[in-house]
Amino acid sequence: MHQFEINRLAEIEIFGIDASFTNSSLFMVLGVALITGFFALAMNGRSLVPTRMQSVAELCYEFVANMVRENVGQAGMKYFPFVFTLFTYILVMNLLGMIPYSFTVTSHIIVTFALAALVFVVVTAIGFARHGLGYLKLFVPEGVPIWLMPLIVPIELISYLIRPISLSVRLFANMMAGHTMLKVFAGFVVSLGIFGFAPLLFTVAFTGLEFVVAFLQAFIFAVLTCIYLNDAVNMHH
Amino acid sequence: MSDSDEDHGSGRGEISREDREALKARAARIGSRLEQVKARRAPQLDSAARGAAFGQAFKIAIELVVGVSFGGLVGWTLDRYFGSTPWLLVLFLVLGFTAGMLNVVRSARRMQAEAEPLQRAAPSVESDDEDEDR
Repeated sequence: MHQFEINRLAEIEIFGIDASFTNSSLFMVLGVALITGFFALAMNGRSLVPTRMQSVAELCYEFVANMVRENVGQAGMKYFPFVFTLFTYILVMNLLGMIPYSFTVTSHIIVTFALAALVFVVVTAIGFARHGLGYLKLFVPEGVPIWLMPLIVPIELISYLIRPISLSVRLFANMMAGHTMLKVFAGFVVSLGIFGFAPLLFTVAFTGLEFVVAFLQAFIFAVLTCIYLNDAVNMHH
Repeated sequence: MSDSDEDHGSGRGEISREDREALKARAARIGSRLEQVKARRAPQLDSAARGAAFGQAFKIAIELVVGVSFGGLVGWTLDRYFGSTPWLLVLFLVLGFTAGMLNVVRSARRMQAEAEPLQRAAPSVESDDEDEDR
């Protein structure tokens, strides 16, 4: 479908690798500029009684900070910038995709997989940095008889390894499915003629739901990142 | 609303009986109007809640699918590498399924832990409100 197509805007090749600036890159840059611009502008005054924009910025901060504190504890606040960046980035990418004629970056699995792989690598690195080789105990649950170990350890290992996949597939599938559904039902509006009002109503309602999904998926991604961070920081299931 | 407070009505203040009846009627009217407004507002909230529930259901479904497909992929690749078709595929499908199930159970348990205090709090708060109205 047209809305998911990648177009090269400027051809760039670095050592034989296609690193062209695409419409996807354009929207990523746009999103990052929006986030940075918004927070720079909103927090510019740093007044004690916040202005409207500053309230929104503080609300964002409080929301993510509480999420990190609840799921990881005070020790996790060290990694707050990481979670906050992920949350705002995904949220803005999802919401940018809701504007007609725009491009939804998060509807491409490679983008969401890159984000999830980043989470996976960072969390694993934090785990090993904090606990050394003791982090491997994560795959050996307590109170399991020794003869079950050959079965339990591979299962735990696989359940750890599939985290980035389920994380990325979830976000990608939600965004992709939502936009496809909107497109299909919007197509029915014209083809059904006078009865087109039914799919039109559905499309309008579904657009609202899509905004919920856009927020929810960013939230789920951030919460799961926190939960994985909790494993790495505190090491209990 | 129907149970009256006539027993100790005289000690309450200098409101005449008619006034009290009028006040009661007004309170009942406001109450029913509030109910109407609440009923009108409810579907909106419901759709957002349904969206959230949909997201959670989807989250669990994905967990299972990814577990099985990852296990299958790993088993298939190892089979091709070692030439042991189809035994490793079978083994890793089962392992992947179990791992997916494990993740499902874990996230479901987490959801339950989050929802339980809310569920316990919700009905008592509502009945408290009604008691105060009376």
